[in-house]
Amino acid sequence: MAEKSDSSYKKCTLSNGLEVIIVEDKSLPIVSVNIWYKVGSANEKLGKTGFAHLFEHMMFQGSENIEKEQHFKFIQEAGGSLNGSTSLDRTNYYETLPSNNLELALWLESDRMGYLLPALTEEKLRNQKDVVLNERRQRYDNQPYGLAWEKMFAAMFPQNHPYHWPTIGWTEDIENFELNDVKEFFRTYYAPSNASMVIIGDLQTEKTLKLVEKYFNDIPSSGEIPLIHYARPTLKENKTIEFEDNIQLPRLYLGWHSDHLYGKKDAAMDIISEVLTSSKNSRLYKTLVHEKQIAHDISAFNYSAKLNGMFFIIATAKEDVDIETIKKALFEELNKIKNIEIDTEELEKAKNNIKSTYIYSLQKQTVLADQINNYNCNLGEPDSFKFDLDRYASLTRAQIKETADYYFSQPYVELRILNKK
Amino acid sequence: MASLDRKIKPIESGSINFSLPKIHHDELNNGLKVFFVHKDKLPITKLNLIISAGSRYDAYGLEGISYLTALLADEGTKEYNALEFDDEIDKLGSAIDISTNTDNVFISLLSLEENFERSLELYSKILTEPRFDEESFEREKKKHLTKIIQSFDDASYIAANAFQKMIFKNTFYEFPTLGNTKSVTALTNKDVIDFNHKFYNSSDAKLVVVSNIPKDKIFAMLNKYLAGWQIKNKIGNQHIPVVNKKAKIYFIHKDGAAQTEIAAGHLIPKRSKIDYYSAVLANSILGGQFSSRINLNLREDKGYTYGASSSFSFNKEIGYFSLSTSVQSEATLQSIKEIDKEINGLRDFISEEELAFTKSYLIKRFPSLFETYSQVAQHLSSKIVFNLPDDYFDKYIESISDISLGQVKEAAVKYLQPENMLYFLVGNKELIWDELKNNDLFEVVEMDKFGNLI
Repeated sequence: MAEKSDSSYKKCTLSNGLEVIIVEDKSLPIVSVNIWYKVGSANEKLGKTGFAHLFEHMMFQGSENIEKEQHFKFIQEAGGSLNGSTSLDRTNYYETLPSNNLELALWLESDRMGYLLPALTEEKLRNQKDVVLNERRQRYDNQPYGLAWEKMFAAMFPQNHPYHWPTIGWTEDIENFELNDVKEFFRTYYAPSNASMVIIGDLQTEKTLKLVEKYFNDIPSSGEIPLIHYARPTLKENKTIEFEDNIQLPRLYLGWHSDHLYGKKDAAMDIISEVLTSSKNSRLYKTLVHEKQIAHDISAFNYSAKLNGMFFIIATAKEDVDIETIKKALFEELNKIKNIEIDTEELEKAKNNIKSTYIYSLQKQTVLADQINNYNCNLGEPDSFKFDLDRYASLTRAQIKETADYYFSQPYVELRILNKK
Repeated sequence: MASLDRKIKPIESGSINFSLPKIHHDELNNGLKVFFVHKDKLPITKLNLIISAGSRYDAYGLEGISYLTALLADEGTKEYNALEFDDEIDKLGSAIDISTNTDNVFISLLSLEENFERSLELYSKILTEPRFDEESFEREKKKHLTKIIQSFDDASYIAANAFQKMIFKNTFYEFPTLGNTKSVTALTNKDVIDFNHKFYNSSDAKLVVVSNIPKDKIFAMLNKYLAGWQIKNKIGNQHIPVVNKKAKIYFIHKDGAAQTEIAAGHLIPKRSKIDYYSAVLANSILGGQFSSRINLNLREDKGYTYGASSSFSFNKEIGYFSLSTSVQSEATLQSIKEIDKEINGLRDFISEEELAFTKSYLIKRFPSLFETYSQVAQHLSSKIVFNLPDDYFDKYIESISDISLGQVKEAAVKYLQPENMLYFLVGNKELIWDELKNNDLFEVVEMDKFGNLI
């Protein structure tokens, strides 16, 4: 067993490859367990989209020693809360519960990590396919502007790029999944060597490690995890898409490729999104919403994932305002940030805001656990809090201008959601 | 090591120690009641001011005035215009948030210790020196009107709006907090200023403070900056009688709807007039959490929905039972039948196991409700809104434990009234109308998207 330990945490790797990070935090008598499996929708293939997410649902359907419905019930009965989520690059499972029930969480997590398949049935799969299809309808198909994101991603990434399709998947693909798909996916990706577990809370490190060994040591490791093959995506020219939806106010979406997560230019793009739309005084908000009053709302954000980043700007038009008017005003502001350095005060404000938002968010143990797992899986070092904040603190005005100029000079995807007449 | 028997569920290891945050209360020199909790995990302060200035105080014809007043309340002060004021707050990394519901407006501040005093100074100006200039009024009113238009694109808003309109008919809770296009169009800046004068300076305002700063120090600061805020106006309470209607389905067509959105419910007495803990336990079993009967039935058994939940909720003067879900269009009528079956089923039978499970769930999760500064402030705020005793949190676990199965059954019969359930459906008429119309359980009537009968 490999070990690393310092004052803030203990990290070790079990012989089957599972990475374990233990952190003591005695402020409340609760404990959070957070597992990342390094598999997401980027590991899917065309025709099988949405599978990582459907699989996440199947992980709550019981395992060899846990009956259907019992996973939720046991955690709830112990006073815990639990969930899971799937993104492009990872799937996470987490629960927070009173600290005297830590062992319960380890029992449940280890049973589904090691022994999920014996409990699978056609009926469970059919049921969860229906649930996921209804999730898709509720969260995307039946939401105003709900299909915008999948249209943006599909336009920004070519068919053979793993970010081309939505994490929830295309309806037809979800309908077609079979039990064998579930089995194969589990055997390929749900190995302990493809997972990282963070345990944080009112606990004793050595005792906790013993419990982890008790429940996870016997889970066999499996073969190599297949790598994702993809070509770096480029847009040769601007793409414009129009889509009619049951909405009353047209909305403009713009998307650029940006740097991947923790890449050299990643933090600068976060600062740029702050400068553009984070407050009433931010540049785009002030001009388009406050002064010209041509947009009802506007937001910009940098979504950086493992293989690639995406920078988005979204603006909803006021009644009777043309999308073209919005676009023109928006690009005037982008040209300024490309060509003239932002003020010192603007930069400081953006840095402070990122820092305080970050500190506020870490109040919740479950968020903290997930952040530590993010650092461990992406940077190999669980305690990267200082490193992360320093990425922002060290940026200069010149770097911000250079980054804005670099990305905003490249082709982009433009989606216009229009009113269905 | 002996091999592990995975069939055996681990048992709890000992008991946990949890001490509830201690609530101190005091009055400032200007008479404002302050509820303070000291919490020193992080250098954070959260303030939440509760003022009786929600949409129930909107005068007839001026619906939406409380919402617009809240939008404008932090759009500048005597010294700073709207942008300058926002910039001052922003520079500190602090956040001010103003929100309204039917009863109250909440003005909150979140700040790090190093910038708290200056943040408080700015925050206090919202109360002592609000600006209300004509330019901000015109801008925010347009924003308000656009928001109303946009809300009606959303099936869940359409359903909730119709629900409010019919369930609370003939009370001051029947109007949406946003008001409507006609009423908001008619509002003037003078209406806003009048509303602010009349309702914001209420002597029954209360301030919740959760902070790592010691009590004496923070009270001195509060006294310093809030001294100029005169609270004097008294607002009386009005009683609302529970008048329920006969069960019915209201159907609203939405073009291209991909599912049917369902909101349903009926009135119950206000929180202080019901057996609260018995009702909470009954609802928890019915639809209050993931493993509830309705969610397990509609989601985990039938696959009709991504999720379904129910709750007992309370305005200050009246309570209501509500249930919401969005279901596959083809399963609309079947879902309503299942919901009706579950409500009747709970009135007929509850097992000891179900009660034990739900008690355990509510009692053991209690400590985790006090994790963040905002959570503590939020729980304290609801204690204040409902005028609950000071030992409310200390007695919570005991109060839940003491409830018997008989009491929960009684609460289910009393507070779940299938004969009064109104169902509001927003969906695709082409797909579901025939089936709905011919159902043998409920009368069905049609509404437009604003909740007017057709």
